[in-house]
Amino acid sequence: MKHTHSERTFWIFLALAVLLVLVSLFSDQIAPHDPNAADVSRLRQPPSAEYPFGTDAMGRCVLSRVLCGAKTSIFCSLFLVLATAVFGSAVGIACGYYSGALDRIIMRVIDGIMAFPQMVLAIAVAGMLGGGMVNAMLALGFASWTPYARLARSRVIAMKKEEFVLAARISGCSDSAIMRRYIFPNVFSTLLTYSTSQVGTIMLGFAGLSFLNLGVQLPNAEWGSMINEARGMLVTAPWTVLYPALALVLTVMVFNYLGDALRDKLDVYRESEAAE
Amino acid sequence: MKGSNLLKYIGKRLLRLIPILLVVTFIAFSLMYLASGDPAQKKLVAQGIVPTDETLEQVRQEMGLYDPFLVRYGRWLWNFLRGDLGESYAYSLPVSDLLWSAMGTTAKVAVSALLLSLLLSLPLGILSAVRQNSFWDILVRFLTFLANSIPSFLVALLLIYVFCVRLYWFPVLARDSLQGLVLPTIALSLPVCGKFVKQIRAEVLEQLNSEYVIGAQARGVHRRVILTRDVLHNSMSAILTVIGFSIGSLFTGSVVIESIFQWPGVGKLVMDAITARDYPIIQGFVVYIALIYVVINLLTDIAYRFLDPRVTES
Repeated sequence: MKHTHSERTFWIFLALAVLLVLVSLFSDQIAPHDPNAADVSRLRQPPSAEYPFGTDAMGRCVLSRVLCGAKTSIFCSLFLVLATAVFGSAVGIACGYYSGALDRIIMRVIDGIMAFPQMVLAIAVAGMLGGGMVNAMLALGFASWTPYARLARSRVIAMKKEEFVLAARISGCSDSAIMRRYIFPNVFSTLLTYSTSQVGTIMLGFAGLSFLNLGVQLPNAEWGSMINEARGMLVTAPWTVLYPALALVLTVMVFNYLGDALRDKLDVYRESEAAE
Repeated sequence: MKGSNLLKYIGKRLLRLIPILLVVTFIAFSLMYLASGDPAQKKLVAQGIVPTDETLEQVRQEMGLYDPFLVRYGRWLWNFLRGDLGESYAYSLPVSDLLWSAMGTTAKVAVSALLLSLLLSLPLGILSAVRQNSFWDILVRFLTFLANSIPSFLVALLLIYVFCVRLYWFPVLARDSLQGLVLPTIALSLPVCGKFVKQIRAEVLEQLNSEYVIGAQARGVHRRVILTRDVLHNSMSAILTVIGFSIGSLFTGSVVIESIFQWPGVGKLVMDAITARDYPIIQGFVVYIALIYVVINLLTDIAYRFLDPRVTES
């Protein structure tokens, strides 16, 4: 009973997430207007048939900008999660597999990085680098690859003494082949669950940095920077804040739900495996 | 026996702090290298002096910019250990003085946000676990989810819109006063509440499903007695560690919230420093935050062991 329920939740949110990715992918085609085209003749117009989300202080179409912002927010977050997950897990798997002095040094470095609250470090790095999307990604990436390494390392250490690894070694597999073919598939589900749960966090991180003017630079659209740009018009033109905010919160919710559902689904698998 | 074990544990953890602090200070020091350009020039520009070749050379000599990297790191670390984090470019004041005076103002919001979060999330988390899958549980879970998915700057903007713009209950800019404290506190505590409720609910649920509860129920102990005497008692130590971890969100939140409400704490100080390219303040800020974060987590870990004798050395 519980099985089918968590299964269904997972597929629903996976479909929603895919839909969001598709919308952001084709945002240029879907957007009714040019997101950067300013028009002084229609400043701050309330939502209408032609401009469903209204227009902002420069007469730009808010719907088009929200769609265009989706591309930045969703793609940058997914890319960054993927990049940090790959890098962190590779470091963690190698550290756990070889152990030794280098492992100890790397682990101390990771302890040190994790001694900073993630976003505080990201704000400081982005602040030093001076804003811009690439710098924001570097800042968030530097602060967020460490948990993957720790997670992968602890799983590998537990797995290293298992018989299938020993069997692979006896039969003459090279170290890198053992890690790729036997260890990686076994840590994959743990890492996948964790990285899915991180998409929402990273998205909020990007929005936060952009809100603080440390992310996307104007006039490029991103939800956090749109909210920052429009925050003075909360009274006169609430739609300029409302729609990017809604888009951000709903997207983060979809990815957070997806993360939870995936964890439940994989837990169910693990339980049924254990029962067999 | 138990006491000496605890002391041994504390000693071990303090030893482990040394490499962590080395890495933390090293990262903080290296941050300066991420900033492009000549620090001497930045210092002069931030002070409003037009840099000439002569003055630049003089400032470079003063700052010891010609020494090798590790020498400069060593000197910086030595000064840091004596409590000297250098001088702010823009204010020409010691960074540590600036940070300490702002820290108190931040602590006001952070501590009241922490208290508000506990006050809200303890009853909600327990209610939601005890009445699992009831209407209230589903509502609480949804609200928790919302709180975890909404950025604190948005909460702050919505609060300003409702309470300052529509209802005129509070001034928009929070001065350092009791009235000004209310909205930043709420904005800061909501995301923290989301994390708390989730953890408290999970912990209480785990306790409720454990065998001693089933045993007590079988022996006819009243449910309320089990809940207040055993379950809450056993959940306390786990809840304590959540508080330790939430300190990170509190600090992060304070940067954003303070720059929105213009609350004169460390968060606003550092955002102003980023705008003014006043790098020593950013550097000092990350070191201090990391120190506080590490120490608080150490304290909660020790308290966890002290409160919960079941936890043994692994």
